[in-house]
Amino acid sequence: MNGHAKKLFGLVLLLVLSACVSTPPPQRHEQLATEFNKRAFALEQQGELFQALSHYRAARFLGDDSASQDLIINDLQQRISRQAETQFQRGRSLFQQGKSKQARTALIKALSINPQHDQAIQFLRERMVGLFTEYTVAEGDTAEQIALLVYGDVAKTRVIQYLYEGEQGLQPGTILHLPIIDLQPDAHSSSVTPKSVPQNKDTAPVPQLDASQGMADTFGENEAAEVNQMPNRVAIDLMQAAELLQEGQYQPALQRINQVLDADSQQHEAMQLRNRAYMGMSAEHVQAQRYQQALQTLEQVDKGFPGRQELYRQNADGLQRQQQELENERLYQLGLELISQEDYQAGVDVLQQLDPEYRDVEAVIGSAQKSSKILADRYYKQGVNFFVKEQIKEAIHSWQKTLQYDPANTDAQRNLQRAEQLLDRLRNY
Amino acid sequence: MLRSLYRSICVTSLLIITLQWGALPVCADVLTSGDEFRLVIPEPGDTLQGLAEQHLGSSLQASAIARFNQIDSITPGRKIVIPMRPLPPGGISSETFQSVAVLSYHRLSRDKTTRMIMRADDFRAQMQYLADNGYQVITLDQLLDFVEFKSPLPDKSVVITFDDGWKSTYEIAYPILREYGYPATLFVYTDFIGGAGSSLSWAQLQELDENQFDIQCQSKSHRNLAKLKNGESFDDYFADLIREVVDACTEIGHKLGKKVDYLAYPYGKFNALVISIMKKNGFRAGFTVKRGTTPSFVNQYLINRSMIFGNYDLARFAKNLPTSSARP
Repeated sequence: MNGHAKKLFGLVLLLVLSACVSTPPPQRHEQLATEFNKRAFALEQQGELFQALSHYRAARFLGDDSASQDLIINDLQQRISRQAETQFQRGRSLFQQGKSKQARTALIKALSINPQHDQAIQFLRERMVGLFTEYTVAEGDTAEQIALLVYGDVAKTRVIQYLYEGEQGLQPGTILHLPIIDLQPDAHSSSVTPKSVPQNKDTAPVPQLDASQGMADTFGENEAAEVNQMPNRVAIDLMQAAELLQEGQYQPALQRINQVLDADSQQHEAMQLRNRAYMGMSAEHVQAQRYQQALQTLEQVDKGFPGRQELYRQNADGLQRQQQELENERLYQLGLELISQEDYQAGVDVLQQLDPEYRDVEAVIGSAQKSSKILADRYYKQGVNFFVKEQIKEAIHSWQKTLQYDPANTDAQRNLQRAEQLLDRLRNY
Repeated sequence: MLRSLYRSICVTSLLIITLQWGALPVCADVLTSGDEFRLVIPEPGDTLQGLAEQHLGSSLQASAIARFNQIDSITPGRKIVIPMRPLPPGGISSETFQSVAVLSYHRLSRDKTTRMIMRADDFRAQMQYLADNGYQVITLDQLLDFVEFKSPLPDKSVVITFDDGWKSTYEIAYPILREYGYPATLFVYTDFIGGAGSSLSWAQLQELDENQFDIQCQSKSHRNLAKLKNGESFDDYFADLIREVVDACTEIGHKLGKKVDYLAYPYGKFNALVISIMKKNGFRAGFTVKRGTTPSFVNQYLINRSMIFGNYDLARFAKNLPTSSARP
């Protein structure tokens, strides 16, 4: 083949390949689209909403790009979303009520409606299993403190360090997913590998064993059945309790914690969670200024429990503030009462014991002083009028009233003194 | 000369197009293609498995194509819509959900049988039962893709696993599995491996891993990972867990030149701390011996396995297999 022919052949090949690989123009496959729409409708009637949606979308892909197709798809998407969310919330609520089996059914139902409901998947995989608890890192927390708080055991610090330090570390606000650790010594264990387990004779020579018999004894179906019970009731109760605590539902949490403690009063995680529950309740009381209840609830928390002392101090401060508030209000009301009786000076004296910024104290005092001055002036003038008319007794009474409203009124003081002296002389005369 | 010219043009064109479009070029049987679906016209000789392999990367997804198009087999010239994402994801529908059986074997023997030792003939009969009854034997990776909602599985999917590292896995199970073309996983604990007595050697493990088997981890010493030994402090226990789970599984990976992703808990025993360590170290899943099948929404560190004992007859064996699906 000469050079010319090669070029020609190459060109033809390229053209063929180009035709082969070029994007085909959009085509309608109406018959198939109709078929998929029919199947979608049937699936929708059967309640297979997610599959119906896929079929409607396939119909659109096949060329049914009508506006009504988009409406159907959008409507179905919304229905799927709503119904799945309802089932999810139901499952969550049932789980919190301790109804794990029904909760699981509801969560699977949520997934059957929307298999992409991540929260439902997460709930089934993690929360219902009950092997982990969450802890939100607070400002200043150390691994040691968290170990003490979560496990009540500083030896578990290593777990927190291993799992979390060196990554994001223990940044405030980070949610730690910590394993619930409930270790029992293995009654059948020793430092030697169990005899039932086959050994590599190169590294650990042991007498020839009928390994199969050993395995059957130690690990038969009975044991498998025991494994089937994992995660156990305690772990689930504690997990649920921890979750309820996170949501601030202290009483239901305490109910589950107490179930565990009824069976084992020294169950460590339960004791820690109980402390957290009472701490949470106390904090709520403090927040709501129910300091006496807070005090009583705090008495239920173990004395060394982290944060107890701080909350106790907050509560005492709160109680003090509350008492001060009550006293302030009492004085304020007394001041107002005195002012309403036109006993301005007494009212102002009472109100001046309060912080000027308390309620409208400053304005009330200003107003009372102004009213008092007006009255004082009025009585002063009245006194002068009585004096001019030689009604000495009435003049004295008026200036006494003046001084009642304005004790610093020097004119009234001087006139009163003169009037009283004049009255004395007249009596003597 | 002409052939080499043709080949080079073809390869170059395909490469350019692939690079430019970031996808495989559309060829004659593909009418249109999108993120969610692809429309194809099968040609004579095409099969569902072939289409699944070509378009979805695995023949296991043939049933997904069949279901979506409501067909049992391919009719050349009849258009087929290939769903490019699993439908329904995780095999969950309104009335049923799909689940997969993971079978756990230990030791085989040519003649002897006990609860923990299965006769070769019985094992072969069980493999034949799977073949006769339409079960698809899948790998752990395929199971995990299903659990992670990445790809669908055939309705009747089964995983075959072996524990410990017995020589009989190589001498008896391997040839039988090869006959049937079934993949399997072998979980080994490193203290047992060495080749003496009845244990496998590292060379044999290497050979198995390069062929029918996926070698995975079952700890270092086969201790109960969920409990303290007598007198063991928490610190010692924690350090030992790292050796048992992380170091041993890393060693297997190093020796076989692969990444070990799965741990079978010795005696099926585990606790949350073991799982935390696995998560921290990137394990993809953990396997118990809780009897029962596994749905897609399982916690992947708590995957069930059913132990198949040497004294099981076929009826008892079959009880551990998934039916087409289970009710929620």
